[in-house]
Amino acid sequence: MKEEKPGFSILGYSTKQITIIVTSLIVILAMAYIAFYGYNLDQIQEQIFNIPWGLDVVGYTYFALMATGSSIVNSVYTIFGYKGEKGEYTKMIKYGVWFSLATIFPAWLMVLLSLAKPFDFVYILLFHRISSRITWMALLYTFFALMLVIELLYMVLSESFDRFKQLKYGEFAIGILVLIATVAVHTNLGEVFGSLISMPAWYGPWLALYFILSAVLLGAAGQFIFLLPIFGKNKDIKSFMVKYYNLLFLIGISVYSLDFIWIVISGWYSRETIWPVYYSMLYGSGSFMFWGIEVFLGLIIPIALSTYGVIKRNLTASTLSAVFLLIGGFASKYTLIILPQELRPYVWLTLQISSFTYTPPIGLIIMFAAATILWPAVYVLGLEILPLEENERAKHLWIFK
Amino acid sequence: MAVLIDQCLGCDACVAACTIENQTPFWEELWRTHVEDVEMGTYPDTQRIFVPRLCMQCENPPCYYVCPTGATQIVEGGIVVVDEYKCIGCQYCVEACPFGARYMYTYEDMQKAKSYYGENTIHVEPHVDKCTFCYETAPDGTNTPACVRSCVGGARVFGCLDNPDEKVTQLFETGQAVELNPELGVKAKVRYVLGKSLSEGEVDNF
Repeated sequence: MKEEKPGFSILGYSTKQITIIVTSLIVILAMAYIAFYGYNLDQIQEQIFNIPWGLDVVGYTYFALMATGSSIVNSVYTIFGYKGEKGEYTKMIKYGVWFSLATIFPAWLMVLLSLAKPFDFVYILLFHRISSRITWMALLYTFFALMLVIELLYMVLSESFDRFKQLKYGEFAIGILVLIATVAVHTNLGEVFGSLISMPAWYGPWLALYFILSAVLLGAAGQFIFLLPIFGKNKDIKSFMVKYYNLLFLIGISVYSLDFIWIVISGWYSRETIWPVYYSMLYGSGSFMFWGIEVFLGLIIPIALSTYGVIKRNLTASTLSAVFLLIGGFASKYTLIILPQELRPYVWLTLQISSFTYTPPIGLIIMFAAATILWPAVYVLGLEILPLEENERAKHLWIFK
Repeated sequence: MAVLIDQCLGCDACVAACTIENQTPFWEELWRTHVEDVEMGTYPDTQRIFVPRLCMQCENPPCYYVCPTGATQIVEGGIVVVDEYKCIGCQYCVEACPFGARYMYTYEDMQKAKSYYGENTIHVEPHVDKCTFCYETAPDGTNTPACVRSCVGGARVFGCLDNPDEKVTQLFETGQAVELNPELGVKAKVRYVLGKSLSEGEVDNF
């Protein structure tokens, strides 16, 4: 047997761990800088061919839904008590909570950079107007992040301090608070769009439900991809993941599709204002994004792959299904947010529908790409510094490895 | 304000006056007010009218309620204005306005404004911009917006709605000036006198 060479270590962290931590930090800082570069590039371009909420808001919604959706998936363990046939879920849950928390970072980066004055975002708290859904979004999202931090802390501290474990309903109570925060965030996010009488395609109460269903799909798919490299070599957990997540995908796709079909059909009854949006989505300029990416790649192929994956316990099919769900989920958010702005009705003497084709500016594409790369870097950083394994005790400052 | 559609000549003097007074980014084709050239009917029964458009100064303004920082404010006389220092540029109000009366005044616009309007520009921060009835920019004592002062056809009637002697109050109270799209519930304080060329019933048909 080969003898391991004693390596360089700081505070008990091995050379490999330190390398990963430093690399993650460098990537996070570099991506934050690049995102700001993209933001500056976007600020100096002309806005003739722009819309108020472009790729930046799409990116924010996408990551925000994935973070909150992942929390809903976690609640299957924390609230409903499902731990897997051999307790596999117990080994995964802390990673799931950390995934939710890590996914908030790109969401916050995107939403901050969607503002013309990102550093003035504190005005929302200083001069808040409570009738504004964005004020509530800031408060609820902060509350959601705080609850996730408390949930993760509780789980980590429980491994070190028995008194936390002895709190019989501690995890359940925190799980309930996280779920309440999650539902509140979704409901309010739905109303950010749904309360606007100026945008009939968004107007109404249906977006909250749509966001919750869509979030579950995104959260489950994101978790599957980010947890797989950690548990891919453990046969039992791998088999559990393939079965559990594929079933979530299949149930999620069915309910989501039903909800979305209902939304499109109801849009048909508002012929003047809403139907042009859905018409464009079904037959017009948005049809490739809708039929090609959102429906075929993002729903039909995942149904086939997940069905195959769950029957044959096939990891490749399951992974591909999750990847396509993430791509389809992005396309659906893009369509939902961009198309109604391209075909926006203005009322004056007569109803006028704007006809406009949005192309994301290069600055926003850079910003979104940077946020997307920053996301796994934050996740990896947490894996290295947080004790997320089952029965792993914190060694530094009660919460760090 | 009441807009008398029959009396609008489509000369765009109001647009020019507003642009200069409020230094709007015309190079982006963004205006606080503009005049729409509308053709209606089918040959040979056709008509051409000019419809001035501006912020409707709603009594129940959607843009006010959605503003997360309180940058959009309702000042004396019920005029809706934007505090550019408080505005963070989230553009929620731009989305919320059913009339499309708001736009973003960007860093780029501020730079360009200097080349058109000189170094002492009135816009110093990026913010959402809109018609304010020339609040605090109209010449002392007039309180009258630039578009009203410059209108050669007298198509824009401006005044205090609390004063029963004002022409605009009479147009409102006699029902000659009608609110467009009252179903929105915003209670617009800019109303239109449709006149001979366009009765209210005809609006839906063109």
